[in-house]
Amino acid sequence: MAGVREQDQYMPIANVIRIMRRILPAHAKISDDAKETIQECVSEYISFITAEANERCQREQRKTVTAEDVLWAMEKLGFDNYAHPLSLYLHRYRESEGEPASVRRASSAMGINNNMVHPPYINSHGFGMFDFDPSSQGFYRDDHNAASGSGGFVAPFDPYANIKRDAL
Amino acid sequence: MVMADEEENGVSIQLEFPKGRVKKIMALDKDVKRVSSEALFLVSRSTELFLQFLAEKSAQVAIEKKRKTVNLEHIRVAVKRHQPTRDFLLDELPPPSQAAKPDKPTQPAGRPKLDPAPRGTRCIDQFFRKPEPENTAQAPGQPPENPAQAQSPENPDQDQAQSPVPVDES
Repeated sequence: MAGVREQDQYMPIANVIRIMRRILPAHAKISDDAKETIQECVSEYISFITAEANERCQREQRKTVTAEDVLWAMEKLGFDNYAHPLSLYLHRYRESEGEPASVRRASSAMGINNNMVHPPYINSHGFGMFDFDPSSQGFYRDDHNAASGSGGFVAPFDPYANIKRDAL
Repeated sequence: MVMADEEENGVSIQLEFPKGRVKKIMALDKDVKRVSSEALFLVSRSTELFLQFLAEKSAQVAIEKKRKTVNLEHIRVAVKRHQPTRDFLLDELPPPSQAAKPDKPTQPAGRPKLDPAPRGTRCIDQFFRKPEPENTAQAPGQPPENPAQAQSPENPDQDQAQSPVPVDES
Protein backbone atom coordinates (compact mmCIF):
# COMPACT_ATOMS: atom_id res chain seq x y z
CA MET A 1 0.00 0.00 0.00
CA ALA A 2 2.84 2.35 0.90
CA GLY A 3 4.45 1.73 -2.51
CA VAL A 4 1.26 2.44 -4.41
CA ARG A 5 0.65 5.57 -2.39
CA GLU A 6 4.18 6.75 -2.99
CA GLN A 7 3.84 6.21 -6.72
CA ASP A 8 0.71 8.33 -6.79
CA GLN A 9 2.61 11.27 -5.33
CA TYR A 10 4.98 11.57 -8.26
CA MET A 11 4.68 11.92 -12.00
CA PRO A 12 5.50 8.75 -13.92
CA ILE A 13 9.26 8.59 -14.40
CA ALA A 14 8.86 7.58 -18.05
CA ASN A 15 7.00 10.77 -18.90
CA VAL A 16 9.51 12.87 -16.99
CA ILE A 17 12.49 11.31 -18.76
CA ARG A 18 10.87 11.63 -22.18
CA ILE A 19 10.31 15.37 -21.76
CA MET A 20 13.81 15.88 -20.38
CA ARG A 21 15.33 13.98 -23.30
CA ARG A 22 13.70 16.43 -25.66
CA ILE A 23 15.50 19.33 -23.99
CA LEU A 24 18.85 17.77 -23.13
CA PRO A 25 21.66 17.39 -25.68
CA ALA A 26 21.80 14.10 -27.55
CA HIS A 27 24.83 12.79 -25.69
CA ALA A 28 23.64 13.86 -22.23
CA LYS A 29 22.89 11.31 -19.55
CA ILE A 30 20.89 11.60 -16.35
CA SER A 31 21.97 10.00 -13.09
CA ASP A 32 19.48 7.96 -11.12
CA ASP A 33 19.41 10.31 -8.16
CA ALA A 34 18.82 13.21 -10.56
CA LYS A 35 15.82 11.42 -12.06
CA GLU A 36 14.30 10.85 -8.65
CA THR A 37 14.97 14.43 -7.61
CA ILE A 38 13.37 15.80 -10.77
CA GLN A 39 10.33 13.64 -10.07
CA GLU A 40 10.02 15.18 -6.62
CA CYS A 41 10.58 18.70 -7.98
CA VAL A 42 7.75 18.30 -10.46
CA SER A 43 5.32 17.10 -7.79
CA GLU A 44 6.42 19.93 -5.51
CA TYR A 45 5.74 22.43 -8.30
CA ILE A 46 2.22 21.10 -8.82
CA SER A 47 1.48 21.30 -5.09
CA PHE A 48 2.95 24.80 -4.95
CA ILE A 49 0.85 26.17 -7.81
CA THR A 50 -2.25 24.33 -6.62
CA ALA A 51 -2.03 25.71 -3.09
CA GLU A 52 -1.71 29.29 -4.34
CA ALA A 53 -4.53 28.93 -6.87
CA ASN A 54 -6.77 27.34 -4.27
CA GLU A 55 -6.04 30.16 -1.84
CA ARG A 56 -7.40 32.72 -4.30
CA CYS A 57 -10.36 30.46 -5.04
CA GLN A 58 -11.30 30.25 -1.37
CA ARG A 59 -10.70 33.94 -0.75
CA GLU A 60 -13.38 34.68 -3.32
CA GLN A 61 -15.58 32.07 -1.65
CA ARG A 62 -15.65 29.74 -4.62
CA LYS A 63 -15.34 25.98 -4.48
CA THR A 64 -13.93 25.21 -7.91
CA VAL A 65 -10.37 26.13 -8.87
CA THR A 66 -10.50 27.72 -12.32
CA ALA A 67 -7.97 28.32 -15.06
CA GLU A 68 -7.84 31.99 -14.11
CA ASP A 69 -6.83 31.01 -10.57
CA VAL A 70 -3.97 28.95 -11.95
CA LEU A 71 -2.76 31.75 -14.22
CA TRP A 72 -2.98 34.24 -11.36
CA ALA A 73 -1.05 31.90 -9.07
CA MET A 74 1.78 31.47 -11.54
CA GLU A 75 2.18 35.21 -12.04
CA LYS A 76 2.16 35.82 -8.31
CA LEU A 77 4.69 33.09 -7.61
CA GLY A 78 7.12 34.41 -10.19
CA PHE A 79 6.43 32.09 -13.10
CA ASP A 80 4.97 34.91 -15.17
CA ASN A 81 6.91 33.79 -18.22
CA TYR A 82 4.66 30.72 -18.27
CA ALA A 83 1.40 32.66 -18.00
CA HIS A 84 1.40 34.07 -21.52
CA PRO A 85 2.05 30.83 -23.43
CA LEU A 86 -0.41 29.05 -21.19
CA SER A 87 -3.08 31.62 -22.03
CA LEU A 88 -2.59 30.73 -25.67
CA TYR A 89 -2.79 27.04 -24.90
CA LEU A 90 -5.97 27.70 -22.94
CA HIS A 91 -7.52 29.44 -25.93
CA ARG A 92 -6.74 26.47 -28.12
CA TYR A 93 -8.05 24.13 -25.48
CA ARG A 94 -11.34 26.00 -25.26
CA GLU A 95 -11.51 26.16 -29.02
CA SER A 96 -11.19 22.39 -29.36
CA GLU A 97 -13.60 21.72 -26.52
CA GLY A 98 -16.20 24.16 -27.78
CA GLU A 99 -16.70 22.97 -31.36
CA PRO A 100 -18.33 19.61 -32.02
CA ALA A 101 -16.28 17.09 -33.95
CA SER A 102 -18.66 17.08 -36.92
CA VAL A 103 -18.45 20.84 -37.40
CA ARG A 104 -14.66 20.72 -37.08
CA ARG A 105 -14.42 18.02 -39.73
CA ALA A 106 -16.76 19.97 -42.04
CA SER A 107 -14.73 23.15 -41.56
CA SER A 108 -11.47 21.35 -42.34
CA ALA A 109 -12.95 19.75 -45.45
CA MET A 110 -14.37 22.95 -46.93
CA GLY A 111 -11.99 25.79 -47.63
CA ILE A 112 -14.61 28.47 -47.24
CA ASN A 113 -15.56 27.38 -43.74
CA ASN A 114 -11.90 27.14 -42.86
CA ASN A 115 -11.44 30.78 -43.82
CA MET A 116 -14.39 31.80 -41.72
CA VAL A 117 -13.15 29.96 -38.62
CA HIS A 118 -9.47 30.88 -38.51
CA PRO A 119 -9.34 34.72 -38.77
CA PRO A 120 -10.74 35.52 -35.30
CA TYR A 121 -8.15 33.34 -33.55
CA ILE A 122 -5.33 34.78 -35.61
CA ASN A 123 -6.26 38.25 -34.42
CA SER A 124 -6.45 37.15 -30.81
CA HIS A 125 -3.05 35.48 -30.95
CA GLY A 126 -1.28 38.39 -32.55
CA PHE A 127 1.64 36.28 -33.75
CA GLY A 128 3.20 36.77 -37.15
CA MET A 129 5.99 34.22 -36.98
CA PHE A 130 5.83 31.63 -39.72
CA ASP A 131 9.43 30.45 -39.89
CA PHE A 132 9.04 27.88 -37.13
CA ASP A 133 7.59 24.86 -38.91
CA PRO A 134 7.93 21.27 -37.66
CA SER A 135 9.08 18.91 -40.38
CA SER A 136 6.12 16.62 -39.92
CA GLN A 137 3.93 15.42 -42.76
CA GLY A 138 0.81 16.06 -40.74
CA PHE A 139 1.83 19.60 -39.91
CA TYR A 140 3.02 20.18 -43.44
CA ARG A 141 -0.37 19.23 -44.79
CA ASP A 142 -2.09 21.43 -42.27
CA ASP A 143 0.13 24.37 -43.13
CA HIS A 144 -0.44 23.78 -46.81
CA ASN A 145 -4.21 23.84 -46.37
CA ALA A 146 -4.01 26.85 -44.11
CA ALA A 147 -1.68 28.68 -46.49
CA SER A 148 -4.10 28.20 -49.35
CA GLY A 149 -6.89 29.51 -47.15
CA SER A 150 -5.33 32.59 -45.61
CA GLY A 151 -1.80 33.94 -45.73
CA GLY A 152 -1.67 35.03 -42.10
CA PHE A 153 -2.12 31.62 -40.52
CA VAL A 154 -0.01 31.07 -37.41
CA ALA A 155 1.96 27.87 -36.93
CA PRO A 156 0.61 25.76 -34.06
CA PHE A 157 3.91 25.69 -32.16
CA ASP A 158 4.51 29.43 -32.10
CA PRO A 159 4.10 29.75 -28.32
CA TYR A 160 6.65 27.02 -27.78
CA ALA A 161 9.10 28.70 -30.17
CA ASN A 162 8.59 31.90 -28.23
CA ILE A 163 9.57 30.11 -25.05
CA LYS A 164 12.67 28.69 -26.66
CA ARG A 165 13.73 32.09 -27.93
CA ASP A 166 13.19 33.63 -24.53
CA ALA A 167 15.31 30.92 -23.01
CA LEU A 168 18.13 31.52 -25.47
CA MET B 1 -11.62 12.53 -28.70
CA VAL B 2 -8.64 14.70 -27.88
CA MET B 3 -6.46 12.68 -30.21
CA ALA B 4 -8.92 13.07 -33.07
CA ASP B 5 -9.15 16.80 -32.50
CA GLU B 6 -5.41 17.12 -32.55
CA GLU B 7 -5.04 15.18 -35.77
CA GLU B 8 -7.70 17.18 -37.56
CA ASN B 9 -6.68 20.68 -36.57
CA GLY B 10 -2.98 20.09 -36.10
CA VAL B 11 -3.21 21.85 -32.73
CA SER B 12 -0.98 20.26 -30.13
CA ILE B 13 -3.08 20.07 -26.99
CA GLN B 14 -2.05 16.55 -26.10
CA LEU B 15 -0.62 16.42 -22.60
CA GLU B 16 2.58 14.58 -21.83
CA PHE B 17 1.55 13.98 -18.26
CA PRO B 18 -1.46 11.82 -17.41
CA LYS B 19 -4.28 14.02 -16.13
CA GLY B 20 -5.29 11.48 -13.53
CA ARG B 21 -1.90 11.61 -11.86
CA VAL B 22 -1.79 15.42 -11.92
CA LYS B 23 -5.24 15.44 -10.38
CA LYS B 24 -4.14 13.09 -7.62
CA ILE B 25 -1.14 15.25 -6.80
CA MET B 26 -3.34 18.35 -6.71
CA ALA B 27 -5.78 16.52 -4.43
CA LEU B 28 -3.02 15.80 -1.91
CA ASP B 29 -3.82 19.27 -0.61
CA LYS B 30 -6.90 18.65 1.52
CA ASP B 31 -8.04 22.25 1.11
CA VAL B 32 -8.51 21.75 -2.62
CA LYS B 33 -12.11 20.75 -3.16
CA ARG B 34 -12.80 20.94 -6.88
CA VAL B 35 -10.71 21.66 -9.95
CA SER B 36 -12.10 22.58 -13.35
CA SER B 37 -10.90 20.72 -16.42
CA GLU B 38 -9.32 23.92 -17.73
CA ALA B 39 -7.37 24.43 -14.52
CA LEU B 40 -6.21 20.82 -14.63
CA PHE B 41 -5.12 21.30 -18.22
CA LEU B 42 -3.19 24.46 -17.36
CA VAL B 43 -1.40 22.89 -14.40
CA SER B 44 -0.39 19.91 -16.53
CA ARG B 45 0.94 22.11 -19.32
CA SER B 46 2.63 24.44 -16.85
CA THR B 47 4.34 21.49 -15.22
CA GLU B 48 5.70 20.44 -18.60
CA LEU B 49 7.12 23.93 -19.12
CA PHE B 50 8.67 23.87 -15.67
CA LEU B 51 10.23 20.46 -16.32
CA GLN B 52 11.64 21.66 -19.64
CA PHE B 53 13.06 24.73 -17.92
CA LEU B 54 14.62 22.62 -15.18
CA ALA B 55 16.11 20.17 -17.68
CA GLU B 56 17.52 23.00 -19.78
CA LYS B 57 19.15 24.81 -16.87
CA SER B 58 20.53 21.60 -15.39
CA ALA B 59 22.03 20.70 -18.76
CA GLN B 60 23.67 24.13 -18.95
CA VAL B 61 25.23 23.62 -15.52
CA ALA B 62 26.47 20.18 -16.54
CA ILE B 63 28.03 21.65 -19.69
CA GLU B 64 29.70 24.42 -17.68
CA LYS B 65 31.25 21.78 -15.44
CA LYS B 66 32.16 19.74 -18.55
CA ARG B 67 30.07 16.76 -17.58
CA LYS B 68 27.97 14.55 -19.81
CA THR B 69 25.84 13.21 -16.97
CA VAL B 70 23.35 15.49 -15.25
CA ASN B 71 23.49 14.77 -11.54
CA LEU B 72 21.96 16.07 -8.35
CA GLU B 73 24.46 18.90 -7.91
CA HIS B 74 23.68 20.34 -11.34
CA ILE B 75 19.99 20.42 -10.49
CA ARG B 76 20.71 22.23 -7.25
CA VAL B 77 22.79 24.88 -8.99
CA ALA B 78 20.10 25.34 -11.63
CA VAL B 79 17.46 25.75 -8.92
CA LYS B 80 19.56 28.32 -7.08
CA ARG B 81 19.92 30.48 -10.16
CA HIS B 82 16.17 30.99 -10.59
CA GLN B 83 14.64 32.99 -7.75
CA PRO B 84 11.01 31.76 -8.02
CA THR B 85 12.11 28.14 -8.26
CA ARG B 86 14.58 28.52 -5.41
CA ASP B 87 11.89 29.95 -3.16
CA PHE B 88 9.80 26.81 -3.09
CA LEU B 89 12.23 24.10 -4.11
CA LEU B 90 15.67 24.57 -2.55
CA ASP B 91 14.56 23.38 0.86
CA GLU B 92 13.03 20.29 -0.69
CA LEU B 93 16.22 19.15 -2.37
CA PRO B 94 18.29 16.55 -0.52
CA PRO B 95 21.20 18.17 1.35
CA PRO B 96 24.64 17.88 -0.30
CA SER B 97 26.73 14.91 0.91
CA GLN B 98 25.17 14.62 4.31
CA ALA B 99 27.65 13.19 6.83
CA ALA B 100 26.16 10.76 9.31
CA LYS B 101 26.95 11.76 12.87
CA PRO B 102 26.84 8.78 15.25
CA ASP B 103 25.33 9.76 18.58
CA LYS B 104 27.01 7.82 21.38
CA PRO B 105 24.57 7.39 24.24
CA THR B 106 26.34 8.41 27.43
CA GLN B 107 25.00 6.20 30.16
CA PRO B 108 25.54 7.60 33.63
CA ALA B 109 27.23 5.00 35.81
CA GLY B 110 25.05 4.19 38.76
CA ARG B 111 27.08 4.33 41.91
CA PRO B 112 26.07 1.94 44.64
CA LYS B 113 24.95 3.80 47.71
CA LEU B 114 26.15 2.45 51.03
CA ASP B 115 23.53 2.46 53.71
CA PRO B 116 24.78 4.24 56.83
CA ALA B 117 25.02 1.87 59.74
CA PRO B 118 22.79 3.00 62.60
CA ARG B 119 24.83 3.42 65.72
CA GLY B 120 23.49 2.74 69.17
CA THR B 121 23.71 -0.99 69.30
CA ARG B 122 26.49 -2.13 71.58
CA CYS B 123 26.94 -5.35 69.68
CA ILE B 124 27.76 -3.50 66.49
CA ASP B 125 30.13 -1.12 68.24
CA GLN B 126 31.92 -3.96 69.95
CA PHE B 127 32.03 -5.93 66.71
CA PHE B 128 33.62 -2.93 65.01
CA ARG B 129 36.27 -2.71 67.72
CA LYS B 130 37.36 -6.33 67.47
CA PRO B 131 39.03 -6.21 64.02
CA GLU B 132 41.38 -3.41 65.01
CA PRO B 133 43.38 -5.43 67.57
CA GLU B 134 43.46 -8.35 65.18
CA ASN B 135 44.84 -6.20 62.37
CA THR B 136 47.53 -4.66 64.56
CA ALA B 137 48.60 -8.09 65.82
CA GLN B 138 51.69 -8.89 63.86
CA ALA B 139 52.55 -12.13 65.61
CA PRO B 140 50.08 -14.95 64.92
CA GLY B 141 51.20 -16.64 68.11
CA GLN B 142 49.48 -14.04 70.32
CA PRO B 143 45.83 -14.03 69.08
CA PRO B 144 44.28 -15.43 72.26
CA GLU B 145 45.64 -12.58 74.35
CA ASN B 146 44.26 -9.73 72.19
CA PRO B 147 40.55 -10.69 72.36
CA ALA B 148 40.92 -11.18 76.10
CA GLN B 149 42.11 -7.61 76.52
CA ALA B 150 39.42 -6.23 74.22
CA GLN B 151 36.60 -7.86 76.11
CA SER B 152 35.18 -6.12 79.16
CA PRO B 153 34.12 -7.97 82.31
CA GLU B 154 30.62 -6.57 82.00
CA ASN B 155 29.81 -8.98 79.17
CA PRO B 156 30.57 -12.48 80.44
CA ASP B 157 28.46 -14.05 77.67
CA GLN B 158 30.83 -12.83 74.96
CA ASP B 159 33.68 -14.58 76.73
CA GLN B 160 32.01 -17.88 76.10
CA ALA B 161 31.10 -16.97 72.52
CA GLN B 162 34.53 -16.03 71.27
CA SER B 163 34.52 -18.40 68.33
CA PRO B 164 30.87 -17.94 67.09
CA VAL B 165 29.88 -15.33 64.46
CA PRO B 166 28.46 -11.98 65.74
CA VAL B 167 25.11 -13.08 64.31
CA ASP B 168 24.70 -15.30 67.35
CA GLU B 169 25.09 -12.29 69.61
CA SER B 170 22.26 -10.42 67.90
